[in-house]
Amino acid sequence: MNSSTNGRQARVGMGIAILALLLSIFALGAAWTTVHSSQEFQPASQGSLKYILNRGEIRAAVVPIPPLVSIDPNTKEVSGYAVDLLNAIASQAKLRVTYSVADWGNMGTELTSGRSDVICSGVFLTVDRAKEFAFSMPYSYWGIVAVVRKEGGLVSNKADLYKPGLRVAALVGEAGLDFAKHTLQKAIVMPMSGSDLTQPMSEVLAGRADVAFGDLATCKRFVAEHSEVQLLFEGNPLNVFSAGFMLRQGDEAFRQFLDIGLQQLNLSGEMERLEAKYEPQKSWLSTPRPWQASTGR
Amino acid sequence: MIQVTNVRKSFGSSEILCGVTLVIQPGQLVGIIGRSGAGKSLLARCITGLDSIDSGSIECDGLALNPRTTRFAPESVQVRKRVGMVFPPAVVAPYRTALDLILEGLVYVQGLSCADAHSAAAPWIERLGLSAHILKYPRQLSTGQLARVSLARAVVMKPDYILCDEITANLDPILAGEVADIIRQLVLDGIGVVLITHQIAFVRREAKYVYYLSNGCIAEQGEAAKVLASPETGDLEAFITGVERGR
Amino acid sequence: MHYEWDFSVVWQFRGALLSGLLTTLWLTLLSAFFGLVGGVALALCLTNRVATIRIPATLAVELIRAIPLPVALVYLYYVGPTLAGITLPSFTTSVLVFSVNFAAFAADVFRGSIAAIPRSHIDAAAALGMSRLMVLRRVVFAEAIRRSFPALNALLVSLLKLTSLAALINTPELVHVSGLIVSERPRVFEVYTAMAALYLAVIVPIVYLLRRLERSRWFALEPIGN
Repeated sequence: MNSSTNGRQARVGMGIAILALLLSIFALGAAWTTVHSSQEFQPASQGSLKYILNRGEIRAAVVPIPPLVSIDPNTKEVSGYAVDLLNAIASQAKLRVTYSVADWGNMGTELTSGRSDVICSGVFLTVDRAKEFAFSMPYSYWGIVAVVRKEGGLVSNKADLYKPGLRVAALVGEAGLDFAKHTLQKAIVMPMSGSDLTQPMSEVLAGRADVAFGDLATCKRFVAEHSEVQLLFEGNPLNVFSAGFMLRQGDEAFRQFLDIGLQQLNLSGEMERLEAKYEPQKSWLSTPRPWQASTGR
Repeated sequence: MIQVTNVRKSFGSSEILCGVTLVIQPGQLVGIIGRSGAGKSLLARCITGLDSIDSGSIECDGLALNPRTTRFAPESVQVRKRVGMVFPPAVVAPYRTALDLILEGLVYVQGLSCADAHSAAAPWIERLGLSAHILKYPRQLSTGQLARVSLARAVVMKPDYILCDEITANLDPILAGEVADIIRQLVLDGIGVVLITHQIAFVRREAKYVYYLSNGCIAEQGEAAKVLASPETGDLEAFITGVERGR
Repeated sequence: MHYEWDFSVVWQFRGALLSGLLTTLWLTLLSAFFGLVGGVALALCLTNRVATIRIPATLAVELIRAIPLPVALVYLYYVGPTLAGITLPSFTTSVLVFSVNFAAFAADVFRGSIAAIPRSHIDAAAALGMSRLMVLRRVVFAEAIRRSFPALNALLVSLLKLTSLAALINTPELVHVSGLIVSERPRVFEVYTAMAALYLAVIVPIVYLLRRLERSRWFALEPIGN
């Protein structure tokens, strides 16, 4: 039993040491990661502004949609036009902004659960969304365009969209899907559920769809990466939507706060200056100043 | 002395032991014989407190096991420290080496150090011809070797009594003879040995007393030589004839 | 179907992919550790003779096993703040949910293993005069671990893959990070190929190691020695 019992004792000792090490690492990790959770709980049903001013902080959830919102996968740093706007509004009120990452699928829950005060992204203002959430005034306008294969594509103009049996891919909850369902009666509409805006375009790439709808920025980025596909209707979009910050329904004080902030940035020219940072990949129409005609792109 | 008085044990509605009374003295070899299913192994388990009894009593050198005594009650545990049990060879943990199995009791029950336990067990390991096999696992051992490991495991504990349940069943005659020598030596050393066996010849030759168990009852008992030479009941006579015919 | 592969996106974001992989591994390790500890505790409750311990434990295990992981993750992460005012970070939420889930499945494995221990092994140990605690340690635990090891290995490998569900609540594990990469550069095929390769690179050695351990004298039920 000499070797086997000594071996057993060594195993027990090593096991206890590993256990203690893991427990202490976990305790440290848990303490470090939960430090942010010990903040004052804000009931989602109540207006955010009071809590924001008490905290001195706006909690924003971002959903990546470059160039409005970019998250560097290496550094996790959040940047983009929408982020710049929110930071500029917050700095005017001497507030800081903390960003957490969400996706198109759970951004609504981020708000309703009270984890975030605002969704800072290119969220299109739609009637369906307006039933559940509130929006700031728009800070950009977006065209809905199409992506098709270069070779063997069935669509080259708007009339082709009405071909019977055309397979159209678009993301659920996105404006392109609404357009397809209401306008293209003879098409086979393929709704994609997921959080990846490029998923419909991947369907075209894979040959399972003939055309994919999406916003101009996302489609442009996809086409830039894949030479097999091309962009259609860039100069003549199928539809146009506005994008703004999304908030909890009834959060009026905070909404007014953001609206006034956006207005001030627009009127002072700061919005135009921030937009200029994103040329040439800027793919949206700007919010016009009251005394100007539409600035176009 | 182990005194078993009117012990009854049932499982469900079947009564397996019906009022068994027997005595085991130190330094004596007692044989318990009977057909398969007569209740011999169960009786051994009851004596060691592994199974509780329904009525009656079992006393072992002042320690009493009664119907309220559970398996791990202090009395039961103490009885088992005095009464060793040798199990059939298949009943060993397959993930322990032979050495682990033999020294287990010395280290974990008697609290000896590894080295001391090894020293204490070494003579028995040598005597049972296990020296070359102690680092092997049960899968690598023959049935005979496993039987010797079971025996070594019990005897190294230096119990006051040993119950052996069919320990020579899977041994060749030479090995069985060696084990018989060891049992003889244990008796001479003052250990009370109970042999549950079909080896009528050995019991007739070596045992002081024999108990014949039939359907859970002691059908016949007495001095081994006399009872086995001239059984009083036809049942025992038929059993002895059957065993010798089958040899 | 013609497609031009371009794996430069993988090289560009190699740091992010590796960090996502490390988070996946850490999440798996912590969840498995706490899940095992919880599983042992639950198994002892499941096999307890006292009904007031055994029955609630059985109900708890069945409830946990019946709730899909995505539901549990989203519920704790989003409904927790609303119902109980508890706001946990996504990583902590993930560890909690995966640990509890793993514990429930592990408990069932342990329970089956304990039930499979031949009574004669316990008797042989008890016959030496061992106390109940010593028998539990030398036979029940020792043998239950050996009997459970193959099934627990399978659960562990499953857990490693299931951690991908933590992306639902934005835990920065590999699938979530891959999503961020695709947002920046929409090369789904290449990124997902890289993701699959990383999972393979980790799972294959783990499976090999666990198989070796399964046959070793520490965890094999019937070792054959040298």
